[in-house]
Amino acid sequence: MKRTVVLGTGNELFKDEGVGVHVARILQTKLPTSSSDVEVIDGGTSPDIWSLIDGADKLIIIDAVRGGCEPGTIYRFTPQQIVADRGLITSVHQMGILENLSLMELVGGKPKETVIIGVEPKELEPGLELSPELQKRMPKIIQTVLEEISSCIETKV
Amino acid sequence: MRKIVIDPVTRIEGHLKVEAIVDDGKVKEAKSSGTMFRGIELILRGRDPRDAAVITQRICGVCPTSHSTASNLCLDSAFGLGGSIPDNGRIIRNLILGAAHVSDHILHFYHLAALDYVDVTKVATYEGNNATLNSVKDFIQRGELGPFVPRYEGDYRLPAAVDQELVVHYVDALRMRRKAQEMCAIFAGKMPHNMTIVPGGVTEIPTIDKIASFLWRLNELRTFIDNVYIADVIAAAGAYSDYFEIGAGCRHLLSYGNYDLDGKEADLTKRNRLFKQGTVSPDFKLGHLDVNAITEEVKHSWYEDSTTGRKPLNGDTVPKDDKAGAYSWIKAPRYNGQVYEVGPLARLVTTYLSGDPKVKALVDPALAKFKAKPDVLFSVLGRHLARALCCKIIADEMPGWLLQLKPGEPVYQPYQIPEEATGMGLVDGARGALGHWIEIKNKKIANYQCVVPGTWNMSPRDDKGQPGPLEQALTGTKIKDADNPFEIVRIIRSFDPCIACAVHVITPKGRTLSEFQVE
Repeated sequence: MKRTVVLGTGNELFKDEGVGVHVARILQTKLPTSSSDVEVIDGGTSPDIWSLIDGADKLIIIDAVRGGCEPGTIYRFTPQQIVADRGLITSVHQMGILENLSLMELVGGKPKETVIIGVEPKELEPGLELSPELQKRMPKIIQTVLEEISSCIETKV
Repeated sequence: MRKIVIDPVTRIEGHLKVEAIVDDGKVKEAKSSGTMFRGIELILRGRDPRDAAVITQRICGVCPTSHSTASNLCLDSAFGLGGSIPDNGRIIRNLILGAAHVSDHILHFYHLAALDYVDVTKVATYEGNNATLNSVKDFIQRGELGPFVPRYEGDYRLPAAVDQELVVHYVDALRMRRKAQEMCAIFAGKMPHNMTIVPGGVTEIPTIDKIASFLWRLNELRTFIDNVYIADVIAAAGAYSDYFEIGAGCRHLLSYGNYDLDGKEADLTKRNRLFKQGTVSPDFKLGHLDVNAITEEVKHSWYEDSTTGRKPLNGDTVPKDDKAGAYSWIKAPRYNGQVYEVGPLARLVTTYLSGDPKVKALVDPALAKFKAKPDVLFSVLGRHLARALCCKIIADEMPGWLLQLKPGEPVYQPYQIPEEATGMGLVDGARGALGHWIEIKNKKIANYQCVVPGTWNMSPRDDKGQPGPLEQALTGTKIKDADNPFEIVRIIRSFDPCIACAVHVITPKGRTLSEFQVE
């Protein structure tokens, strides 16, 4: 059986920065708990998510992403499509998604396929709730992720 | 599909900016500023007190367990449970925190600090059959230097063979961290955010299976710590021994201690803990922890001056972003008005000076190896060595605790939320003294304040103008090449900052020599 891991990341203390975490929570209530082929993880800002997604066939990451479009815009891309120059790392608090994927390649267990569903944020100040713009978009975001899980969507979102 | 340039908002836990003024080859002045207002205290007001333990875990992706521990100790004290945590609950809390700290210390050394001393690119010339090295070589040849490239061209001094061995250990360390994460999950439930530590104890019951499962992983970790981690720290220290003389800092240390060894003492400043509580002066005198001596000063921080000098319980967080002379969102915590460093070094030295024979038996031979006096511990390498020894001390202690667990006996003490109360939670997180304070009114949070390790270590100047610990550690450092100030980076990393950090090196006239913007 193929195993899919859905990973919501981000910091929910900064409103839209936590969109991935909000999505993970909603999905945890929507997906049957008996299903062992889809696992939903609320990864927060942990540097150790690589150890939680060990051996997945497909990894779907949900995160706030700044692409410069309207707040609430949903992006879909793969790690290979990202330009990321992360520069000097001074803190373990900077171990990002890409580092995590590279680490998995070294240590084993890297997912065969990784897709990132990014959501353009509006508000990034302290607060537990998403901005009204993102709240309004939530059904569409959830639908996008569910479609990705069932792997029958076009790459266009 | 268009190419997206990501502005990685993922790790947005606040940034640290370090500005160093270099004159005549020396750091003349250093300023450490937190560049982001966090406002966690404001989020918590008006909420159910129990939410604090869930929400404060999100302050930090690396340290959720430390925040969860501090917050629940704080709620224990507010709910009047401090002296009545059942042994099972106390021990399981210790095991969760211990596994998290073991993982964290290994993470910091191998996956961050080691890159200051190990030249990963030397693997490019490797000609052998080691699968790990060949896989790293492959990474380098593809130009995917990934997470472990030297971010910074330093002066690398280890022979190629040692560098290569350390790179193998880097990958081994990842597997070890996975074991430690699994240990956390056995008692903390789904990681990374633990759900099982609650006011009064824990919700996870001990079973023979869980005990055996934890112990089996712990044994592997202990072998790694003894034979690999500590050996590697000592090897690096041998080649870079001048870093025992760099980055001393304020030479005052403060520890809240951690790992309660019995559950009878309600007073958080009098607990019998594995790592002891107390202060250390520059001449290595041990002092008792007096929580009333802690205040937070804000003259150089972007907060209302009227809130300066307060004790945390009465603290307030009133931002004022246009304040003259301010340069940080971090407040300046002080102890008796003095600057104090927190972290593994503080924990280790406090415990050493309190006469713990097991700790003396570890520290004395380590110092003898370098023919050094305890004074050298105030340094870049001293911090790394202390972190490694703290890792060993806690790992060595955990098997005994596992055997004290009693399946079938209670794991928590029931409670009721009081109408009005105050509480305090003190514990050393992996990075040092972490304090949570709560005031409850009408069963809701009226005030909540967290004073985190990074606030102590990265603090800006205080009301008297005294620079914070990191600022002091940087000041006076000789910089060989201002375009390539690896000394500064090594000092910053030795503190294991709680937040991402950008470094700016400028001349006295303000001309920028080099700038390393992170994220």
